Amino acid sequence: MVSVESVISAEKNLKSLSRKILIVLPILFALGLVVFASLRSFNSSPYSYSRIYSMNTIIDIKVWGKERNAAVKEITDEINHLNALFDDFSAQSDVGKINVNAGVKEVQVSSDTISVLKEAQQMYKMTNSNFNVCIAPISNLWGFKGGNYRVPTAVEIQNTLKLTDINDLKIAGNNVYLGKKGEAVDLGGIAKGYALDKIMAIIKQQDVNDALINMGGNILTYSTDSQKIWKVGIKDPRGGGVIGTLSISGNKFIATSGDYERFFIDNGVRYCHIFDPLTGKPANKIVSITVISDKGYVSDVLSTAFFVAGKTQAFEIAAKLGVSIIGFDESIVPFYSDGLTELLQLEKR
Amino acid sequence: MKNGDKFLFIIIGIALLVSAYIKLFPVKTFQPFVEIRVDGKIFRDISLDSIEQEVQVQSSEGHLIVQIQNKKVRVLDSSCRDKLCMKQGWIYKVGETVVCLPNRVSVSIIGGKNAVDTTTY
Repeated sequence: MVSVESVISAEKNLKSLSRKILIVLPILFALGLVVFASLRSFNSSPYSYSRIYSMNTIIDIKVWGKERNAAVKEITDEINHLNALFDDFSAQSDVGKINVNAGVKEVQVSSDTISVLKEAQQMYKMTNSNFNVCIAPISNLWGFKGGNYRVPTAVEIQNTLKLTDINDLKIAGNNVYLGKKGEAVDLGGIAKGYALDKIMAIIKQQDVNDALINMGGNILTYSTDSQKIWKVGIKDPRGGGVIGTLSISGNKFIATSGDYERFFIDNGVRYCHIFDPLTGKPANKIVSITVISDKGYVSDVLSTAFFVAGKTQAFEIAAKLGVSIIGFDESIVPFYSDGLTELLQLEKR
Repeated sequence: MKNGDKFLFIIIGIALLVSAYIKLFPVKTFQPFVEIRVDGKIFRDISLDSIEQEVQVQSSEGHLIVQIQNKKVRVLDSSCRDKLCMKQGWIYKVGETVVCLPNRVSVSIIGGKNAVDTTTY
């Protein structure tokens, strides 16, 4: 027999249950909506971004993945560390000490400075002497250090070229000695690439998924995803925009040298900041060249060397070293490695 | 108040909350805009579609004027010595940047689709 009370309590229970469902269901529905909305706003994974000024240029650092913040911090520290060593405007830097003591005495420098100078010596040979880390006296003569641009006389150039002999750069252990007074090293064509190599080592040690570093136009791409494609624009050498876009996958280093970065015009002639080590005059065979390789210092140095060497030699050396190039001649007509045909999209001009 | 009414109120309340959330944290499919940074820090963001304007930018090193016109942007004038920022001319594509190194000022176009991730120069 069922008592009246128990019937009433059962009814109450049923009522409270349906009430509970009525409250719980919309809350679940709401939670679902919130989760959906969150996924919607985080469909591109978060990254850490930093823009800093160092190594005489502007540097963009973008890192994706779990340890992105730590990675950006470590990268920034490394850049500042190298800048303190390589800064040729400072007499206290390794480069400053080497230059100040040229023809006087040898100086002890850090292992990074030794490494980068050795790479520079090696690249002098690899590039048929189109890249010379001792070219600084020539660029100073033309006013590219202080900004007092001028066209020197042929005699001045000949005399100054005597101070650019890379064989006068002696390295023994951690000591460096420049043989003649007035000689000077300038890491401008290699320091950024060297720094990017060190940054790549940092990235590989951290738990990060992707990284994109742009150090004054020298680019590092990194991804743990082999399908990841970076769109890397190539600056139009005669305009503000991009002239083409490269589709880059994998861990690569991309560097460009052009006559539009630093130059002055005298009597209608353009004089740029990259010098032919043989003639002591600004190179003018092409207007821009981009190099893609697996090593930062290689891309950095080769872009400078190829800018000097011109199209024919650039193709020869690029094939020998297994790097890809894309360049533009005086009429802004492109030339590029066969391997880039599929990866390069040129703008209509 | 009946249960159905309560249900309705709760749903409406939650819908309001969710729309407020989406409003506060929008998905980043924005229109291209001009980002001006001074010393690496954001100074001003301006829509690329905005009316023609000249923006005065002051940094610790000097000053320059950024001009926005017809969905293009350039450095119109600069106190720097080499004027390379001015020589770079107009930029108009997402991912492009004009830099004035001496003044530590950068002007970039950001957002939108079909962007280049970065530019080599």
